[in-house]
Amino acid sequence: MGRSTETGQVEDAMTAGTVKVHTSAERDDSVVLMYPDNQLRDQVRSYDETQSAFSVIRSTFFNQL
Amino acid sequence: MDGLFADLEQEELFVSFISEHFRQSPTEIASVMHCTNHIDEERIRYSFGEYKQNLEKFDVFLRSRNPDHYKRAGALLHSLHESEIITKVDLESTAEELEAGYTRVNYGDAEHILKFVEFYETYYNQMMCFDVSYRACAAYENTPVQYDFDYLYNMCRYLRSNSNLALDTFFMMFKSLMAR
Repeated sequence: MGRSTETGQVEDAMTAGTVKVHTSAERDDSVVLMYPDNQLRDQVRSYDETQSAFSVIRSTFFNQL
Repeated sequence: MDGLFADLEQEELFVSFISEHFRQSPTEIASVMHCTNHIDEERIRYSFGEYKQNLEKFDVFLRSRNPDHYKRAGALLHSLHESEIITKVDLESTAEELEAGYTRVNYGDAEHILKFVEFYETYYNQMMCFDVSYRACAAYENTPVQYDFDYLYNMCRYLRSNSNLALDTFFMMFKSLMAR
């Protein structure tokens, strides 16, 4: 668990005694790693071409595809 | 950036798209008896505010400030789930009435639609909000994983039983479903 300081640094309690201080840049990297592949790509098909819940219902309750 | 998710960042497009989606009555029911979804535009506008706020929560963690489709679909599902857009569904006959025969609908048709009516009158909001969010996500996925009724039922039941879920839960639903 870390503790933020006013300077934007994080002290790592896991390394208490030999306190490791992360810079802001390092901290940002670690946060970004929580969310890799983090950008919206282009849409690849139209909304109408996607599977709808109604089609699932139809094939389940009404035996129609 | 363009496409559906770009449109959904504009309030009026969000409202018209979501209104149109949630107004759809299932044709299987509507072809047999009267069925109308009542929606509340104020709730859609509230949902838009929540959706934008959800995107901002992801933005904080992203250098790109441009969340991917899993996060956007999660943000959308979270905001719609919170808002309960459909206030009520008017059914000419309830599942109970269909089963008991207290209905204008003939026996054959009643029996044909009964199971679906039972499902729909319980889970209309959950089904519709998962449907639109899944489809928006699938529009950006190269090979979208398709789901079956068992998955849909479990999802609806989970959503209905859990009203206060964290945003990351919804993101993980789509990430774990699609990104295999």
